[in-house]
Amino acid sequence: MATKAGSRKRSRTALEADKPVLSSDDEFEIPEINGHESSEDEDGFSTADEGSDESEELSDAEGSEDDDEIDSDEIPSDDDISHKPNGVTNGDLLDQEDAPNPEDNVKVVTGADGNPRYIYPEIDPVYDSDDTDAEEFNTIGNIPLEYYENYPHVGYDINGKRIMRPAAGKALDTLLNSIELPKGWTGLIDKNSGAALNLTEEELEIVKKLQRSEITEDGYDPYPDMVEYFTNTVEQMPLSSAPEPKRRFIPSKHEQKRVMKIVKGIREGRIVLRKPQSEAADQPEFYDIWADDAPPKADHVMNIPAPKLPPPTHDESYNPPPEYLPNEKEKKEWEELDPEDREKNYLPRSHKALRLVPGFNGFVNERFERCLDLYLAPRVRRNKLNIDPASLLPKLPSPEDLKPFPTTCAAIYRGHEGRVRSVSADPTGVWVATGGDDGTIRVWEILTGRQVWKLKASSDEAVDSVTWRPTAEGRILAAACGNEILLVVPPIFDPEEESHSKEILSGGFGYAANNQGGKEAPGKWSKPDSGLDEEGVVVTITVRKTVKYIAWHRRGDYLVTVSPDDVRRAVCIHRLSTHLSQTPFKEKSVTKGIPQRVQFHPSKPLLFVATKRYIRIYDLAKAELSKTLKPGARWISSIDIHPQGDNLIVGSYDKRLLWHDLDLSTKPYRTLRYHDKGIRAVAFHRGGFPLFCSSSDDGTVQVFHGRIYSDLMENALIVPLKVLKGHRITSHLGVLDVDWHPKQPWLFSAGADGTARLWN
Amino acid sequence: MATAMDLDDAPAVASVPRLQINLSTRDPTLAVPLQALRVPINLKRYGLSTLVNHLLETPKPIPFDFLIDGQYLRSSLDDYLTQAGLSSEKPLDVEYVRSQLPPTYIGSFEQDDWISSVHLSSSSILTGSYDGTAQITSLSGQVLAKTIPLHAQSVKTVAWLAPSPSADTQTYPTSFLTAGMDRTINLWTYPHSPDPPSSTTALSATTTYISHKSTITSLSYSPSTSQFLSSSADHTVALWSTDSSLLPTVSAPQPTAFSRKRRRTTTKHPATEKKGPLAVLTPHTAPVSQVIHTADPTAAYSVSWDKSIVTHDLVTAQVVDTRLTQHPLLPDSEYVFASASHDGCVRIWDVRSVSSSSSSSPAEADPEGPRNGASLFIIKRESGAGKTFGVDWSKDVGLVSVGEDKKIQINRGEMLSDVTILEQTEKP
Repeated sequence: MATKAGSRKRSRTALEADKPVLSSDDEFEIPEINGHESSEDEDGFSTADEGSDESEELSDAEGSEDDDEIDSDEIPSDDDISHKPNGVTNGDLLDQEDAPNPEDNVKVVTGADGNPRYIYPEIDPVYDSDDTDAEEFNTIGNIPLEYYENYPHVGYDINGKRIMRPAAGKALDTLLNSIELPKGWTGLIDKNSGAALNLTEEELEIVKKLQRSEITEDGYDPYPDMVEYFTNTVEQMPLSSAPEPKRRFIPSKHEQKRVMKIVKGIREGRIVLRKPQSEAADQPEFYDIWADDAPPKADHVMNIPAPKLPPPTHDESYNPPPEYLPNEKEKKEWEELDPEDREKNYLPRSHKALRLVPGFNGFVNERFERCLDLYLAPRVRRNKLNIDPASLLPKLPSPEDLKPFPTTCAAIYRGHEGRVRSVSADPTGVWVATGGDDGTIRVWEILTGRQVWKLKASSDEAVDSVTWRPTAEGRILAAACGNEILLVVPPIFDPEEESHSKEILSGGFGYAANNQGGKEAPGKWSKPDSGLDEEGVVVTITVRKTVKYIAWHRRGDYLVTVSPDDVRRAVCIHRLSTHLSQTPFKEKSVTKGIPQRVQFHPSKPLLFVATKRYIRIYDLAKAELSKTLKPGARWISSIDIHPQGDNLIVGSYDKRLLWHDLDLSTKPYRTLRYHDKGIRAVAFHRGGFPLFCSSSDDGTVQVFHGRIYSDLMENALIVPLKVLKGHRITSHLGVLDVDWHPKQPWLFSAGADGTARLWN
Repeated sequence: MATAMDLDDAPAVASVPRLQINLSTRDPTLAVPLQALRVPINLKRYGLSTLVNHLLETPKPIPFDFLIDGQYLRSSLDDYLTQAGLSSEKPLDVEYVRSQLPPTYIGSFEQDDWISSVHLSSSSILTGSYDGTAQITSLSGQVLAKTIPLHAQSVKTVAWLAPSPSADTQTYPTSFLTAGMDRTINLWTYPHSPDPPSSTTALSATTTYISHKSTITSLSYSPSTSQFLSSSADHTVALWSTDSSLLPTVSAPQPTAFSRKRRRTTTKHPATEKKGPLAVLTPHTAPVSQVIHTADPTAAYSVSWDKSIVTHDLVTAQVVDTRLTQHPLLPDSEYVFASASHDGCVRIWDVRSVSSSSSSSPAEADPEGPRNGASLFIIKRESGAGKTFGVDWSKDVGLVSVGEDKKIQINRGEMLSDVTILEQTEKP
């Protein structure tokens, strides 16, 4: 401690000495006063220190530099006095070293060049100055010795004299040397002497140690036994033989000072002691050990209350009803079970009175198990969600606000024998055409349900699809009957319109005649036989297999047909103006699956081909596959494209109606499961009403509101509106086809019960 | 006053609270002097009717119905007040009208095919049929005359060219118009004879009017101007005149190849004069369902599937007014009208009985505003189901309706003196 204090003192004086030279000079003019001042300064410092100490104690601060000083017991030491002269002498010594006196040892002589020249005194030839034992030393530097091979010497010593090569031995010596290697032979040549460099055993040991990256010092033990200076074992004898300092036996003055300071503070009232806690007031006199619950703990994340035990049941009663008491067999079973496997750890027993109930022998065990459960089983605090369930429901507008939509059956078109397969409303909105299993195509007046025209297209084949040409002029009805596609102009229109429609159809005959290629065309265009000709059929197209579906292009020049049975030519595009048919997909592998429905995009040159599971969109202009939709349905029955072209509905036989947003994803945007049986047909309204519908084998047609916003950020709004019931289910078939009126919010449905219906 | 009260009230109900009513009527022949009456609150229709009869001092009691705030009184005044939440302190305005009994079923005559339309003259019923003919039936059910099947397709509408009602003598219409799905209107002459002929006469058409491109849905004839209007599903309304010299002559459209073949199978009909229209009005964007003249013969209303009622000025062939509504309607000076609906009923409506609340029953719009009213009576078809396509009423015949069941049904009601006819085409 004393040395430490001394060093501190010294460093302090050193600091003073480091002051600028001028001030130090000033101090040195009156060295006595300086010393005195410094002691005064010391005192002043210590008083200031005390003051600060005091304030710090009051504020209960700790860890400051001054505290450290106090802890070192330095201030009231006697060493200060002994140090003072030391400090002065040190200062003097430093002064002598730091301020060199040029006149002391070095003579300055003006040299020949006029510059001052220092002439140092002659060095006394004392022991340290002798270098005669220095070894002879080659001065050639880092040059390979081979350069001196042709010379008798190997280099020069410090005085510039040649170091001569040692005399080479005789050949016999060399031989002997080569046979018997001398100890310490390295094969190297000492650069200084030119002789063979042999290393002593000690040197070799050092080299080896260096190679092992060990410490080369002799006798160094890398693994010395640990001396446990700081262990919990109390040493009987002191580790060091230093005597106990005297300080330890006399009361500390500093401590007394501090205590007095606190006493003074308490007396003056500056330090207020903590009030003694009145324990008796806080704690209740008695504990209610029968209280149900522990006092509620503060709400904290880590404070998870123990789960409540289930309330006791009948068989835990002291006198349970007899049906709860176990019989002998149950008792035996219970006893034979391993205690771990028992459902409950007691057997219900009956006692006549509550006071006769003995103590439960497994009580401690049970409590322990419970505590173990609470301790070991992780518990999670579940925050209850205070959400109004009604607010989670999507906010859909009421169907009342979305009027008009079809609600009632307004007309029934009776006449078909067997199922009505297909229904289509004509673009003028006055007629509706149906095709059925009886092979007839019929046209009805929409409002009255009067059949105005009928065509027996075939005696054995069903009419699977009828579609009006969707253009303003040219009233052409396309009907698929077996493997024939009939293009019909029903004689119910104005003669002018009728002849115009016929011209459209028959204009391509000449063109087709000129283009008789060698290859077999997928469809054969021909004039019908006389019977059908009189009825209004203008053209028949014969393909190879049964046509199931017909769709028109919006301009009415193309129509696309699907014959799922034809593996190679399932999809066929027919052109009216040239009477040509072509198959866009030559190989089956292109469409990858059996096509179910095809549809033209309402504005772009795209063709939608729905196979059983996927919908592929082909770009007809680039002749490539542009997108594949994956509705996730097992068997797609029908598709329809929104008149704006960005949305698509898909009906599937697995009861699902899927809404695809083509901009969003290849997965459906919304799945609607409202039907009890497979969906047969879906249709969008094309006349400006935001309506679509689906028909199903459960005999219902369901009408939905499907509004699409022009804002791309807003998703389509889909609201189920109405279930239209009326069609009877006949041999598990319900409503086979639906179509919307082109302008009114009226719906046509074709049922398996032989009727078509108008809903408005 | 006091005597009237004594007459009406039994002594047992003398303690019943009384209500002040103000009786009024729109029929000037039945008007009573305006006076405040205090009547027992439990009075029903019959009691009020007896009271009015007593006030009018009619020799034979006339049954009356009572309208309070647009509703027929069907129970006691007390019940009405409770239902309407009114106080019995305030005077109540009560309007009385002649009571109308439900029309009774008289009989029906069957035809071969669906009957699309009916028009009555004073002694005979003209019906148009879906088989392309029209026939005239006497009131006893005897078929007096039948047109030759000049119409290639169904007849949708028929109309007598009734002479002007201003003529003093009882005149019979001698000609009628038929029109239908074959886009032509034919004018037929029927030599009316007072004695019923022994056998059905076959009538021939004299003039064919050609303009429309689609099914003609209705005809309306105005005797004072000798003009008639036709409406069609091709969105047009055409104006014609019965005076053939005013109309341009047109040629019949050349029948197409296969329609020529089809014609060949039928017998050759005598040639008719082919005439074009005076004017074609195209105010609608959807099939026009009906056109009718207003009381002023120079104006007409047309109703369409595009939910609009258009008022036409027939002199200049201009559109005067277009109103959008949800139902076709025909304003009239009378208060009661009948309507035929595709749900197989004929409904009789009273436009005075309107309630401001929208009812779920099939309703007609009232001329004064978009209010709904409940129908007064519903006449079901005797044959059961089937659409009713046309209805007409005349004082002499009664209420005649035709429909899908191929029957002409006649109902007659007492006191149906002021029933006029509206054919409800279809709710758009």
